[in-house]
Amino acid sequence: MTLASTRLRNIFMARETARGAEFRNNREASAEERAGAIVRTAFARIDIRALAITSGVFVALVIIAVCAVILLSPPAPGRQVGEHLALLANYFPGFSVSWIGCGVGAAYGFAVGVVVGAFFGTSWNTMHVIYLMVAMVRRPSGTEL
Amino acid sequence: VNAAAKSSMSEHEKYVFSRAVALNSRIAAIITGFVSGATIWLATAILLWKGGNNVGENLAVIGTFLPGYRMTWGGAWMGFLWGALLGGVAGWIMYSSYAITLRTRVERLLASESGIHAMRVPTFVLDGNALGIGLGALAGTLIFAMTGWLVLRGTAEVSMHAALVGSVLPGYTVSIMGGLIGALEVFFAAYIWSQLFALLYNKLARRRREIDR
Repeated sequence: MTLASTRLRNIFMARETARGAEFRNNREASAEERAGAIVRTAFARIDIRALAITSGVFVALVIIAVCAVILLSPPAPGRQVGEHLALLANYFPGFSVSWIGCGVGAAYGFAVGVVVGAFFGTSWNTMHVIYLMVAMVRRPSGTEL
Repeated sequence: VNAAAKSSMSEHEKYVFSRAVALNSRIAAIITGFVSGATIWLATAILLWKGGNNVGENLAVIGTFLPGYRMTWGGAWMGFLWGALLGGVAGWIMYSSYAITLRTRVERLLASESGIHAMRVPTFVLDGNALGIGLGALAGTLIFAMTGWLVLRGTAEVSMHAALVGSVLPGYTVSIMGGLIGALEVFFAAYIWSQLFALLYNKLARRRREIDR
């Protein structure tokens, strides 16, 4: 009996929720709601983890691509293979212009990309939050944001 | 007709949109400016900390393009300022060009009532085309401008470091024609990379959003 009434209540609540959503979706949006939708879209939040991973993969692939181009093309006469690219070892210990060194460089590149991507995403989202907080404090009382 | 009327923005909505884009452009400029400046400062500082003979002989070459930059602590801060300025301008241009597609997205949202009533702040989605064109044009202009500067200075013949770019960009030489070829190659490379970047980011972001739901 209790189980049946719970089910009925759930069905009723689901119907009412759907009706409410239908009502909200069908009625004409007010000017404030339209402006709010514009602000929400313009202030879309960056997915920090997705940006960090993508930046990491991107930097690692760039290092691999540059290494591969240099390793696969013949060196200029009187010059060592990738003598300038090898200077990256100043920043990435263990890096060298070889296939193994290229992997080491890609790992460092991934780490750098993750840090930069996470920094960019966090700063972007934080600055939006700060701006909205300041706007809320500064707005005249009783008005919409 | 009704959807078209809903999607078109009123004067007030256009004002709200332009203010939001201006704010985002400033934020993009501040962040990219800081990252660019910090990168130059850190690259210089690491070499100065390590010390040795002919410290940063190769990195010092960027002083050709950034007046006042030297392999000293003062030069590092000068590099930070230049990096912040150039990175800031680049970030501002990038977002401003990107915002063109944002307008289309907003108009599409205004046409759908359910989108307007959604309370959740949406996740930022990258447009590979807009990013590719913006980033490609910026990188291509940079290569052409740097090459042109070396040609104008009359040091194109002896610019060994610039000539090395030719090992990564086939056909590039330190000349106006070479600069144009390099600019085109960089544009296409940046465009393709941007498409891949947007594809991966959007896929990861959408997947995570679905998991959150």
